[in-house]
Amino acid sequence: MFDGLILGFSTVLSGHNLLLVLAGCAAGTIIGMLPGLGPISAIALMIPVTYGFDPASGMILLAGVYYGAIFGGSTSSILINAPGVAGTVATSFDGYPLAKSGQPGKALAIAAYASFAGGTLAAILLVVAAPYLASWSLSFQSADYFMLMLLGLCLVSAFSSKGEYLKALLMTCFGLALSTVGTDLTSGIQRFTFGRMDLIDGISFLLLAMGTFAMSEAILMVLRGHDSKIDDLKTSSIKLCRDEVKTIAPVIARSSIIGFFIGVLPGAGATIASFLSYGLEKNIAKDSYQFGKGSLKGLAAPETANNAACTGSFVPLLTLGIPGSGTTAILLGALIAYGIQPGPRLFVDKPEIFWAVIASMYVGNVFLLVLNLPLIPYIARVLTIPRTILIPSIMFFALMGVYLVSFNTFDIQMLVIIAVCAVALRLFGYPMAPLLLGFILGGILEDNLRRAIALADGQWSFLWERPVTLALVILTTLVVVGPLLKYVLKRR
Amino acid sequence: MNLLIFRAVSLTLLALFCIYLYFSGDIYLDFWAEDALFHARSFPYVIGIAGVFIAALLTILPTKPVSLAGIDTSHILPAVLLVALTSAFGLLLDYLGFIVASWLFLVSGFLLLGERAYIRIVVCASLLVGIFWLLMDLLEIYLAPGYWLEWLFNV
Repeated sequence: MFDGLILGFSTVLSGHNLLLVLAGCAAGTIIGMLPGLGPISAIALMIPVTYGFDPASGMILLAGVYYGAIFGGSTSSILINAPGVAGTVATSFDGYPLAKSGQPGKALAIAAYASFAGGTLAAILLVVAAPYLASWSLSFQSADYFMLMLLGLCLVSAFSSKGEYLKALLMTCFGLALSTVGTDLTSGIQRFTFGRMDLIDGISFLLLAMGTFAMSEAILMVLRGHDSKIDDLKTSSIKLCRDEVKTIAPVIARSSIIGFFIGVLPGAGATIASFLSYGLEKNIAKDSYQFGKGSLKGLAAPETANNAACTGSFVPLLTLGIPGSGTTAILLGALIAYGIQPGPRLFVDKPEIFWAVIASMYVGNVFLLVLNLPLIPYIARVLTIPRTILIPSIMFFALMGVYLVSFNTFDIQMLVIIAVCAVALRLFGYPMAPLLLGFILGGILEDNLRRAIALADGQWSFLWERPVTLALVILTTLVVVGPLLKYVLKRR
Repeated sequence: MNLLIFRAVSLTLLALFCIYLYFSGDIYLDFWAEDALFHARSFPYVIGIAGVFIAALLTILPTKPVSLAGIDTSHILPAVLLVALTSAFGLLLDYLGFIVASWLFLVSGFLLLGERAYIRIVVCASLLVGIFWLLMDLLEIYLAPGYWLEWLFNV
């Protein structure tokens, strides 16, 4: 193992490859900041650039782009509440309020430290446990995935702000309902399209994310008038005091582990990891009332888990040749284009590539920190722009993000409708995060439920036949029934 | 008053889920799928029933009044106009093209929110559109010039 790591580092630390990591991180950060262009698009756009390189250098560049794009996505989530990809939605819950409270530099610095720590800890776990985890992840079945996702949805509702449990549950259902719009991929049947061609592919994630977060936030900023704290931003220090470091250190450790293990599961990925770790931290925190108002823990948890999950998703790719997420699927395509077949033999046949990718994770994370920390005070100044200029700019940013995905102006009208509905719902205390999570997980949830029922010959026994599924069922029931009973009894 | 509006919002959501449940029954099913345990209607049914149940609970159960403090009624008109401007941008984008429509949207948006430094307005709008256009050009993402420009200049 150590020989392999030395081989990997010797490959990555050559002058040419170091430059590629740096270029990858910088390009990824810039592309990742644009809504609609997340890690998948960033890597896809950079693949043609890597064709002239040897496979190890190409993969090193793409890995740099991957980490850079994730960090870039967090930046737009924190500064303008515009999560361009699902994995950074949870980051905006506390990142944006923290930035709005006059500490954008601190928010970005915590995101950078948390990303660095999450990515590095997960890379260590990857080296130590990759072969064992690969076989464990394959033992997960549809029923387990279904219950894991249901648990994730219920956790987000259960840990929503005080008195908002039912509203959060309703918003989860709303998100799930929106996810059923479009063509059912299994049967090919159109659902809730009302004969409109524009709805055949369903509603895009980006459209909903921009409508419920960026656009509605911009409209709310106008409605709130000059009370907006954005006018008051003058400082953007990136320094963390000892107490703050003490506060986020255990959160980072826990979230790294959660994120990594969730990331290893094919299909689960950064989104579930970030929401689960956010929910867990909110549940165990003594100051849970601070969550959603700019809590440092609430920012560090999803950001760490997000990055750790991204590293974890390399486990099934490198050890089994199975991509666990959309991004690793693109990386698999790139590897195949280089003439390399990832799988159990990669470790033996092409150790320089296997270890170079792992070493590039460490180096990429260091570069990302070194590259972004000095830039944070400048990036944070975005919030000192007068609101008369900032608000239309945010709206333009969101509009172009949505338009560039489909080049369909119908999506812009949909965005307006969703934003207006989101403003109304937010004014009456309905949280938007459960809606978005329900929407993201709706399709996968349905697929896994369908598969689990088919595998169990139409019986519901799949819920208690396997210990993992049963444990998840019990946990989910406790999460749902506990707050519901408390809510009903309290109201009486 | 706010409590009444809150109940109206809950009732609207209840009605929405009832409509969703009604249209779930309208989803077309192939004849071989009709007797299957899980088909295209199953998941929407589950969501619809859960939604109706929770929305009904929210409507029936007593609740705290919702505070709308922080909303300045004098800013409702600019907010509505900004929404209308966004919708107009969507309608005109195909005709005016990315550059013209975006520039007009930004300039109108700045003016609508009270910005009166005209040089800043023009510089900011031009800079934003220029940077975006340059990035798209670098990433080789095609942005159509717009039907009207195509027709006028035959591009």
